[in-house]
Amino acid sequence: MTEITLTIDTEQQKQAFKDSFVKLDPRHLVGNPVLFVVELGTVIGLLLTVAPGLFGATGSRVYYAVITVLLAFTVLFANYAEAYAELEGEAQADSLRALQTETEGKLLADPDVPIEEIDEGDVEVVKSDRIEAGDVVFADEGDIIPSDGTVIEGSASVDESAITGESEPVIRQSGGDRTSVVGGTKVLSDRVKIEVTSEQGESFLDEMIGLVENAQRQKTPNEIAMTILLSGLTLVFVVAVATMFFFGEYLASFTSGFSGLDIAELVALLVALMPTTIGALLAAIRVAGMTRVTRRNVIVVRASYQSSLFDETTEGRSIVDLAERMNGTKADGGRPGVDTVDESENAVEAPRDVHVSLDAEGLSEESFVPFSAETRMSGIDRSDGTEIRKGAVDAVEEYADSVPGKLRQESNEISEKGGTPLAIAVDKRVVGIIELQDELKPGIADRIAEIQKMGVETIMATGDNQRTARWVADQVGIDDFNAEFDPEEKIGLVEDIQADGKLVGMTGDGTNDAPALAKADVGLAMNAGTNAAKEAGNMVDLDSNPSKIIEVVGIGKQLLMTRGALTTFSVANDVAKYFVPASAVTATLVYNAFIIPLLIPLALRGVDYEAQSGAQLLRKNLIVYGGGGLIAPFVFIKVIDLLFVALGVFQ
Amino acid sequence: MASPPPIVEYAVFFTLAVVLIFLVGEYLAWVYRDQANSNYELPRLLTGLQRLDSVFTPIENAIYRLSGIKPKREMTWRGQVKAVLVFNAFIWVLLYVVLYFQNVLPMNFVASNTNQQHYSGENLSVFTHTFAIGIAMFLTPATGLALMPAFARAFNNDEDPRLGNFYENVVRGVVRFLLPFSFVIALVLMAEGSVQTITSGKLTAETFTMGVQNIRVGPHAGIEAIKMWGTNGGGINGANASTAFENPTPLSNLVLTLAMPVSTFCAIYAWGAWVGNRSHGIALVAAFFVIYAALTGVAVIGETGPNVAMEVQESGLTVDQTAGNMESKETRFGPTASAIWGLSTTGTTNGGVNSMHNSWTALGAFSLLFAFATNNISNGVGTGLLNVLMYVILTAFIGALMIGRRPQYLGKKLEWQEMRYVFVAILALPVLVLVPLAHAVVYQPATDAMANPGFRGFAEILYEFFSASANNGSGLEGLGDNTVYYNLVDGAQVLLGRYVPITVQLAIAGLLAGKKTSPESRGSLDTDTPAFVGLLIGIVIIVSALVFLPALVFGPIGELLSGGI
Repeated sequence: MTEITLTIDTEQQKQAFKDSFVKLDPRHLVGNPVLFVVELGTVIGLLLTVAPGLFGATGSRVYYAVITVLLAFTVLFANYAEAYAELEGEAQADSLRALQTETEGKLLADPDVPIEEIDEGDVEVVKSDRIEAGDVVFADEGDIIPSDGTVIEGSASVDESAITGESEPVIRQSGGDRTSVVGGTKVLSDRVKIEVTSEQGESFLDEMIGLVENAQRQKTPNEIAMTILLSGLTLVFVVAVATMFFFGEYLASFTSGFSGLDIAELVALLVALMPTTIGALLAAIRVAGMTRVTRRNVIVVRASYQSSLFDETTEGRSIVDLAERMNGTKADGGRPGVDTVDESENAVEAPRDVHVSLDAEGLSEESFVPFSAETRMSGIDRSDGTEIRKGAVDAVEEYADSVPGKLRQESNEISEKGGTPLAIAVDKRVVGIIELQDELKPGIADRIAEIQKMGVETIMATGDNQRTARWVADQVGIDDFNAEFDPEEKIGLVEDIQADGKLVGMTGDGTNDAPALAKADVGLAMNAGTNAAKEAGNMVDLDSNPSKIIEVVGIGKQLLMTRGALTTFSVANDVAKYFVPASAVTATLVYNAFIIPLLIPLALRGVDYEAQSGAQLLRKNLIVYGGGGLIAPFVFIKVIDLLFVALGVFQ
Repeated sequence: MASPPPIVEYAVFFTLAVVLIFLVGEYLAWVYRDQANSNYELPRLLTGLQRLDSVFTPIENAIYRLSGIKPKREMTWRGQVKAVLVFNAFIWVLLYVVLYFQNVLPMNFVASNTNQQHYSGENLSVFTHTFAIGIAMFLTPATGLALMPAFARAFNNDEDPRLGNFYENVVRGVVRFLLPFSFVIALVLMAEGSVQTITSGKLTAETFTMGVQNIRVGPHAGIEAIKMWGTNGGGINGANASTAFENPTPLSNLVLTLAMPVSTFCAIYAWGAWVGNRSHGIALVAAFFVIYAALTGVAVIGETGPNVAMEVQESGLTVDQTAGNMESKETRFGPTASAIWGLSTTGTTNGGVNSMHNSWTALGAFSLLFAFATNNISNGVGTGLLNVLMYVILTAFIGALMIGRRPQYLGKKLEWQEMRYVFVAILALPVLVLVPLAHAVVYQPATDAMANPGFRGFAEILYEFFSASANNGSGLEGLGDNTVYYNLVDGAQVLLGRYVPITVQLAIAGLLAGKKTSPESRGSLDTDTPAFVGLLIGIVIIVSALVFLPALVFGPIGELLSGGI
């Protein structure tokens, strides 16, 4: 996983400061009831500072000024937190926008010209903004791909580091599951013909930028519920404190030397009791959460879906289709079967790199017979007429005229050990069997265990045969597996699980995954996969790492946990604030205001999340944030008060 | 007879309470098993209860036929609200008519299960007590009972907005829960010497001073039983359960005191059984029981201590206070049993009294008011469960966030629509108590009614408003509250304090019932762990009780700190 690191320079710091004041506009603040009430309190404080006699108050002008300033700081700090998070998001959007510089594309006048024959006469060089969906463009070595699209002819190695941060070039080729290319990436070698799939302004980069910018405006449903909760708590304390004024009047009626409660002090008490800490950081938590996701190179594609996505990802019980990719690279087990034919080994091992090895053998491209889903075989027709075929054992059996009796037995043995058997036939005579040993990605079992601890049920759905699937499932500890699945069955599986009331998260990359990805509640498509899959999913992982879904779930959880933890902290603080002596009003307000900037890093980074059971997590967070929230204000307010006494101020 | 040490009385009481809560809770869960749409099964120990069906079912069917109730007719939450209002209006009209012809001030709020008497029971005839108050005392708690299975449906239904038939629930509640238990309690009371008659209206006694005293007697035992079991409060005699007619012996006192927490907590226990998670019910009972037992402990300490006002030495005479604060307490019960009763009455919405709360020490009065501030801890029969669940839903919301889960409670997703109503329900008490209080303390006609100006006078009004808003009905007393001002304010509080929460709670049930159930999984918030109980207690204390702390400062806390003004 790569992270795009961002630094906020002093220029942006200045901008954040400026924004904090701009956000004082009541029309903006009214969206956050907690801060709005604090702002109203500040206005009352200001009025008292100007005219201390107002409302029958008796305090000194300096005292009211101090209270006013501290209340103003509370709002400003909150605004700063939001502005800072937004700037961080914008900085990310800017770094993405830089990739969007004007490029030129080579538009093909006649899309049917074979790729080898394309020369300068066939292409028209145009600005990238003139290229529309459906156009066919040509990209040669060293060209920047002008727009998102699907490779329809040829193959090339592409540098996608600008988007993924991964320096290793990736192969993009027509046919199969590696057809999609992203605008702004660079062709390193070879040439491809690309059918453009997105209009200008709708490409991945635009999506990504839009996502970061949208996060600043839209509240998620959970955040709306949080706002209700905080408004409710605010209202409770407004009632509690406002009525105190009248109780004070009553007390004054029979107590000599007491003339009622001071309005400014009541405002101060109200602000101290209201959940200002979480109210101030709520917006920052949202923006930062969204930024964290994009930094992990995951794009949320469906904008309409985006707002609720984070709430959804936190629900457990998803299925994760880690099918093929989890197996990692398939390496040659090197286990010679019956009568192995030497030369075919290289050729059949990795059909995608096939032309490389064939060149070494001195073969021409035409002699290569590509793999197709229909024949489930691939092979070479040599110039001397020899037909070499490699493929699934049953497919080769059907194709061949002569099959040795022990072929079945051998292939079963390989399957049981988790390998994939491939039969080889020369001139329709089965001559050998190759064992492809599945090599699991290192650490994948740990990742699965981690996601299971989050309360997610993992299910594998794969086209592989039963035996292989069982072996893989056992090795990595997947809860359940479904082998030899076709696309319809995948949709059926997703629907069945949803019918149980569970939420389904799915990762997949192939075109045959697309319908199920679209059906799933959270569909994480691989960037390296087909465009069909990418359009079907609601998120795309640019790093094409299927276990990324764990991180996406983790970030969603972190987002909620940060909200929950800071709410608990904020509310627990109240207990201490009730017991603050009247003389420490200033110290309380100082604590109340300055705890906000102290917690900004936590809000931006999120609460540490470690996969563990709900009960453990609740106990831990309750002790840290609930217990901490009870104790922290006692300690801090006492220290600040002692400091003031020592300095001889605010007494 | 010497009282046992306070700690023994305390321990025996709470142990008995726990056992009874379990037994009665299982029984109540069984009563409404189908109405709550639950998969409830009786524990093997209690399967014999099933035979009771053959006794109750014919009675219920007869009632259905006579009254035209069709139990099969399902209602949505709106239908339920309408039924509650119509039904309660009916009770109100019934009371009004009977009381009107009695020539008594018709200011009466029994219809909302509050029974806040601004009259003394002696003013009412035996006929009124039997046919008006008595019936109302059954029907109003039945309203609360009837809401519980409807609320359980919110979680047991899968995308189905039907919440059952309100009237069927009322009938079952009366026939299977209120009548049998109050009958047993009444029998115990009569065995202990309580009066039960409908023929004689008064008892004439010759007093020591050779005067003649006419004492109102009537169906004491029966009224007393349902008054305690149905969290009604009030009584035939103004002095309530401190009189020997109602509450003759320590044993009758124990039974009556137990009736209060058992009849309310059993519903909280039954909740767990209805939603298919008994340990969740136990966890909820534990959370609120801890608050109840702790506050009772504070009250016992307060009342077994000396009364500051009595520590006077005049002409060499002192008051021996080794027995504790005995002012306005019955010697039959002593300070400990009186303290336990006191907290049981404000820890539920009962309102019966067996000692004069205004004579309690500041610490004792503080614990009484603190119990109010938590919205009467376990609250009333039926409605108590619903009020408790408001805090539980809030806890589930925050708890789920704390562990990074989408907030849900018992498989139902919690969204802003429900949270909005939860807050309306939670806010109802502080708004209804504090806003009028702020007005009353600076309003001359209101403060004139205080018996003791100063901190205690403040507490008198606070108690009065708490009592009305939280549907308790008891009084700290001392406040001359039968004035137009208090009658109007309390009347509004009683009505709003009962029907506003019921309406929003049914709305929540309606919203949740229509949602899909997502099963609990490994990572879900466990609602039966000590951490959950801790969070729940914290939220109840901070969100509910602490809101009233400023008001308590001007009342009992101020009194305590200033040494009693």
